[in-house]
Amino acid sequence: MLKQNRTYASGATASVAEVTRYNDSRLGPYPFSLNFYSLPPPYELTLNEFETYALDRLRVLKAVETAALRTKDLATIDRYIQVVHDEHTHLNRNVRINAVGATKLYEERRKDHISHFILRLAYCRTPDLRKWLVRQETALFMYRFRQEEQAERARFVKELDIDMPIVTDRERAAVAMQLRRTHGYSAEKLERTVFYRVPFENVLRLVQRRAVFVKDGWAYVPERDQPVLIAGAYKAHLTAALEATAKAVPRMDEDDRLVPVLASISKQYLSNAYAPAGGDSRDIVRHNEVDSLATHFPPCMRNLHSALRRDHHLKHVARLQFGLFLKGVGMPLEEALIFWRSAFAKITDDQFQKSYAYNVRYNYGLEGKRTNYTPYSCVKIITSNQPAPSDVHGCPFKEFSKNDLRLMMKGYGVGDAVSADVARLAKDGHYQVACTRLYESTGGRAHRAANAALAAGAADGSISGGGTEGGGVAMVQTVEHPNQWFDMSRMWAAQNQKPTGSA
Amino acid sequence: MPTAAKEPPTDNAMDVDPATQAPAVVAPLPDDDQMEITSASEDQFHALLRIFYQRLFPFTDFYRWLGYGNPDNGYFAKREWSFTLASDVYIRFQSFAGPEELRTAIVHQCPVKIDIGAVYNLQPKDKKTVLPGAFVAKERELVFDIDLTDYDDVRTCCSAADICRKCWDFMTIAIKILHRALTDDFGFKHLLWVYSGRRGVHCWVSDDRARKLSHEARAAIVSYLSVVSSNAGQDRSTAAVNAPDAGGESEDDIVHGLGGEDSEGEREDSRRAAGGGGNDSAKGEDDSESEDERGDGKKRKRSRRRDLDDEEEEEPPLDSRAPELFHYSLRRAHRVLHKHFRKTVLVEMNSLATRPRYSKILAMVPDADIRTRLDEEWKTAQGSSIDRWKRLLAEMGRSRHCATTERDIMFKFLYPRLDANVSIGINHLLKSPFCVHPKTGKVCVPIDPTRCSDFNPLTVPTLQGIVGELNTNAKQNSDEGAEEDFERTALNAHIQTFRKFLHGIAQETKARLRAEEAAASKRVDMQRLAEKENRRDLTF
Repeated sequence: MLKQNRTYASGATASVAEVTRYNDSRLGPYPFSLNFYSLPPPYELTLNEFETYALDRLRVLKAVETAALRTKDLATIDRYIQVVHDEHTHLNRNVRINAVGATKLYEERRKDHISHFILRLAYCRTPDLRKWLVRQETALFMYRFRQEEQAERARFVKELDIDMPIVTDRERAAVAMQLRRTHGYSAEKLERTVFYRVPFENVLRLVQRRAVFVKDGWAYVPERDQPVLIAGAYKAHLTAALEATAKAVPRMDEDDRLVPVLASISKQYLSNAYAPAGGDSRDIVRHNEVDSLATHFPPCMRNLHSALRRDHHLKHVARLQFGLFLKGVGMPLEEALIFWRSAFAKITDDQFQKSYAYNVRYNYGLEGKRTNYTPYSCVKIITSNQPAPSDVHGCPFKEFSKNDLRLMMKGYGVGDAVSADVARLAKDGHYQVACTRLYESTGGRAHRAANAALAAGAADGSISGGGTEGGGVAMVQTVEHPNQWFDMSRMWAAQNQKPTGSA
Repeated sequence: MPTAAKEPPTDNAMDVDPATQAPAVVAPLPDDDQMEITSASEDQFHALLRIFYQRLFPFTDFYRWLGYGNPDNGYFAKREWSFTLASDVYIRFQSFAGPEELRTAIVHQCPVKIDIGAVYNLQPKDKKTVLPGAFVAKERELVFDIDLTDYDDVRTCCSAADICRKCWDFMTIAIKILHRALTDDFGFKHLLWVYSGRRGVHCWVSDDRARKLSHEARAAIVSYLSVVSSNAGQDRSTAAVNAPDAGGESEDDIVHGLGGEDSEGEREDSRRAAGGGGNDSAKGEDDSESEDERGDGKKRKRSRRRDLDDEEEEEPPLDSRAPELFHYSLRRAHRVLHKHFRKTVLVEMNSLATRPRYSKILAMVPDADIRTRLDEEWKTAQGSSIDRWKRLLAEMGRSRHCATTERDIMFKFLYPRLDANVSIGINHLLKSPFCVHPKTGKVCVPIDPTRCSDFNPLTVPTLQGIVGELNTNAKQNSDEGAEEDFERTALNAHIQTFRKFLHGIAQETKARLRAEEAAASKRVDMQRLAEKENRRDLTF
């Protein structure tokens, strides 16, 4: 990084001069609190700074991620991000220049600039890391965009010069009725609104919700939705930049100072994969123990389990979801083969070998690509493989109708109040929170206090590294993995049955 | 409701890698199916299939299609093909340089099913020569898969794999709605609709832009086109179907996302389209539709034009009390649904005739009074679906809570239900056109979307039929060698439909090449000019 800077430095200063023309010269290259990070920072910094800057930004990105997972409500998300953001990566707005001084503004923005580029270096290595960084950085950018004043935003957007032609009056007249119908605008309101015409690929989020009028591949985006366009542009810009970085890093010819730091940074926050407590020394789960362990299964897995017992069959995705979960629980391949063979009672041995045994071995990395697959996380279950009407896989809180959910809650023996609460959370799309709520009210009362403490910690901004390791005891605010529910439930049961026993 | 007996949706679209989008070799998934044919007829089937591949399968047309006018750039060769052999062996990641190579492989292996996958960054047959991460799916047609089994909760005539003329209407409506949305809204021009051989249709959107769409863009388009939610069929619940009250509470889940996202208070000042029309206009349109069915070209032209007309007079009577905004594309779809609802749902499905049937519709009515009253009234008496529907509409017209219910019911019954996974995954496989379905023996022939009402899945050419025709229909002019074998069979018309589609792509490619050439020659001219100028400069 330090080496590279020198090469970019000359280019950077040239455009700095250009940018500052419009602005307070004391702010140097940072006329806005917002930054599209088009140029790398031309500074020298110590290794210590290098690491702290990166970790501070990571804390914020982690908060951004958690916020988006917990709720879809923007106001709540913003409140949640704000606490952590102000603590670690606070950025004063331009109006505060006289109150806090230009030097402070400059320092904050410089740190923001540097930390962004360090994370680019750390997170460019694999497609997964890149995807994660792009998503969180875009969310962070949009959070900041929302916090900024209207006038500043307009100035910033103007400076960006994004390609989004304004729809002419004549074009607008031609599709006036459709535009009004899409947005519920009156004729006068339509007259007053500026529309941009962009390829629909640039505003997928609006297309997805049917919140924009699309014709011949062009989306007509009203002024109000301009942030979506900006976010799209930022995302595209960052994705391209990260890919370029990924290609450049191996050729960077870096010494040993930064590479280890970068590697540890990128490892820190992508511990989404489930790592079982106790590693390999855990108890093996046998094929005939599944039914007795089912009480510890989270709702999604209970649902699959009962469907399997009822139909003596599960379809492809359901087999993967349940099979990998069992693998995570501690079932070795040999047991898994017996389990599935006996569960599919209605088919012949030959058929099983031909059509299903492959799948089971596949899960354990013995066929096909030979990847040792990890159990699906909640996010994976919720977001991928949308089930068709006759499928049983997926997250019950997302896929079940209100009525089915109520029946399920009855099965867990929870009270009406909790049941209503969970139903409401599920309806609003807070599937994991709903799941956590159910967990708390069934077995995990003991975890509640711990969760509360952690939540308070988050509010103070003192939350450290999100997924702090601790194996099965990892106390997380929300259920993020079906196996996590299982481990917690089983451990809780063990503690309660033998309060004095040492397992 | 347990649906274990049903076939998996993976029937004609193989599932790909479970954990990532990365390609992998997958187990054969013909799952629950038993071969229905006995071994003797199986042998015969394969003999016929071999003749079919040798003499009838349009290999060169496939090359024209998947080469997309650039036969030299290796686009065709980077396409993944996969075969399912008679022995249930499933071979993925094959690729062929040209039509002859493809023909040799297919005739030699005689696959019972051929799937077409994505275009990769290198030839799929070379996959094993590079590191796993270095082999990536780059492009694929935007494809859609609609299957009648997904309509089982609203079909009353058949279930699972069976189909009849009546329930094929669901597919016809789906084609009409999706075709309009994909062409008008997204601007795609080259859509190939194909009968899937048994109970569904596939669509291959083959435009340049469509092939280059990202994973996210495909997901967004699918979501844009999806209305009926995955749990609308209440398959998972046990009681909802028979007890209107039990299902009553989830009515808000059933059809969602119909309204716009706008929270700004300003509404259209008036809903002019709202009041007028009524049942009379619905009746009128129904009549013209049945004429349409008979294949009267003039009538079709009229109705086609009417579809394109401004919706102002044509719009079905949206309830003026409807509080929500309603996206333009759904309004357009609603016009189609409205036109077909009476014939398809009320007459052919007869969906209000018996208690289990009408309970599904009543369950969607938010007003509990109406539900109990009509249930009391209908459970003992006999009545036609049309009368009952009128009665229900009248009741709902008086209720404050039912402003959008009529519309919701129409969407729930008739709006296309897509298999999202097939469309979204770039490396997903989809059965190739002109395959022969091993169970039905039917050829997966293209469907002309402008004449989709005429398409009858029951009279589609079968393997036995067309191979037979090769023998019975002798060559017209034995001396004229140019005649292709399929021209003597029922396959001819369908290959012509395919060629029409190919022609559209070829025209566009030609225009593009011409434009590029023009641009290039312009550049050359400019260069010459500049050189001339330079020379002139020098002479001075």
